[in-house]
Amino acid sequence: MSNPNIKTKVANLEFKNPVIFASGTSGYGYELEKYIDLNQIGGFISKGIYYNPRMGNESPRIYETPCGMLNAIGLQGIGVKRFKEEIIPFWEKYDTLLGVNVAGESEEEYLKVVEYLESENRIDFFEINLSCPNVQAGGKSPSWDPEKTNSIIRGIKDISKKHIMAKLSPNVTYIEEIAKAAEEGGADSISLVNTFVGMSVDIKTRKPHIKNVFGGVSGPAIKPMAVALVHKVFKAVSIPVVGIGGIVSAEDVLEFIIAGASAVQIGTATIIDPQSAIKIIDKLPSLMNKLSYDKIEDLIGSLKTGG
Amino acid sequence: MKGYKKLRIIDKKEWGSGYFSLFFKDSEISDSVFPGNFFMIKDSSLRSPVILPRPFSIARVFKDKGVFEIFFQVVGKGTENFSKLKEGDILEILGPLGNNFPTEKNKKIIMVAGGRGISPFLYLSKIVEERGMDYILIYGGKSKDDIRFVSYLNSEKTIFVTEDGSFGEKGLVTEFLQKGNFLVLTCGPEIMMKKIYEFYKNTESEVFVSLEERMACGTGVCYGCAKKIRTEDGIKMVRVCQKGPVFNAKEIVWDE
Repeated sequence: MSNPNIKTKVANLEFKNPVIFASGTSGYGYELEKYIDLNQIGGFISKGIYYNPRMGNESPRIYETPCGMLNAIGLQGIGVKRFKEEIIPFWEKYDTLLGVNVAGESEEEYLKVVEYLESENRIDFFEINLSCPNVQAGGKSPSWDPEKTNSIIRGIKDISKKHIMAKLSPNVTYIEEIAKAAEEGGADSISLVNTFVGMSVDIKTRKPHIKNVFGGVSGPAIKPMAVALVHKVFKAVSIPVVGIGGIVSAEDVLEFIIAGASAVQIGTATIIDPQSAIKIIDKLPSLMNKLSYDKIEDLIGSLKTGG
Repeated sequence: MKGYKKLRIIDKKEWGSGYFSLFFKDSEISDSVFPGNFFMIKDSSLRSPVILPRPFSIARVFKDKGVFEIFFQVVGKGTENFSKLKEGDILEILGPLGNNFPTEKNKKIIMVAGGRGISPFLYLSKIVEERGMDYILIYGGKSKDDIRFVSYLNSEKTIFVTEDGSFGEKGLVTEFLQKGNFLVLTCGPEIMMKKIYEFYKNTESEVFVSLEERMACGTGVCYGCAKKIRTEDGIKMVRVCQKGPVFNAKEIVWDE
């Protein structure tokens, strides 16, 4: 039995394995400490952070839907000050690559968050959450608009030396255009997909199942759509792509990688079981052996079409 | 590190009217669990169409046998799936999780349970009895079909109440509360717990409630189960799975 190489690179970022904890489904990391060794995971992206603390939405915030879940947490968060004082010291004892998911109600707020955290050496990269509703634009999200996407990424690249990962929303007509706009803005990588807009109604009370009415759908239900979008974006841009959407097994990881992802993020699986990612990472080498694959890096975008 | 544990259902009880009990054997859990604690339970076999775990309060504990019970009512797809399982089937269980009901306040304890909210008081009534503490349990439901465990509970200490009068006293549990300086512990519908809080609001009594918020992870990562709570830093959305499920009723921002 050979020992497959599960390391992977996303531009300058070298991950021990392709499994990154997705933002918003893994808290700030400390919640997971009693269940897993955070040094075993490929990378970690903390909960989306605005400049100031945010209360988030009222409950109910979640509802299980077929093969997935609907959520509208409302980006509850502790703000940059507490993040710097409480969360960064926590991560000092681990060497896992750490990303911070950056949120903003306006273009200026994204910049303020990055500016505040730029000097923190423990942070390896920023993932830019382009799906936040923009307050000044009547709730429109920058991820729906190539120009906004381009200008936010460009603005951040001007003030940051760190790796910038642009996280895209799937709720758009032509995702390749948004991906290209992020690439032209200087993004080092693209992660996709964020959740799909969804809704669920209690037919007895005629109320929505979550207080916010609309929420984001995640979990295995969205996996085929996510694989398709990852492949489309992989074909459209030349920067690396990080795949997200309903991954719950080592097989799912390889599927995204073959479709074009250089690494993947695990979200809802961590909600189902805090040890899901570790179980997936443990299984990857034996699965690769079984399929006679030596290196994750050889599989990236190795999809065979035609013939 | 500890995560979900695979446990076999060693016994199942169908109480009727949509109430069920599942029994598991695990002495590590039965030794460490305390009333108020909860478990996340999931069925990851192919028979289940449900993917997220569900939270359940601890019900009875038979420490000498290493056995514990989960008591539930079918309220949706998750509980419906669990209700169909049989003795011998395996489920995955995480816990005990969360905080527990306080007991050591040197005050007489009044426990108030509504329907399936009886769960934590089954074991708690035995614990306080063993410790020789003074208590009463007010246990209510819509009708006799919502009242279970009658022979298990101490009849001298329990007031059974039904809305239609089909078992025990007729009325609502809130009509049987006593004024005074008590430690009041409650679990049940939120409207009932709110009324109990209001009844004791301007008295010396302290009221602790166990909240039943919809949960996805139970571990604190998803922020799905948050509830409006008064904290030292003002009103915050606090995760029930992390700071609860038991809260001092005066910290809760009750819905109007």
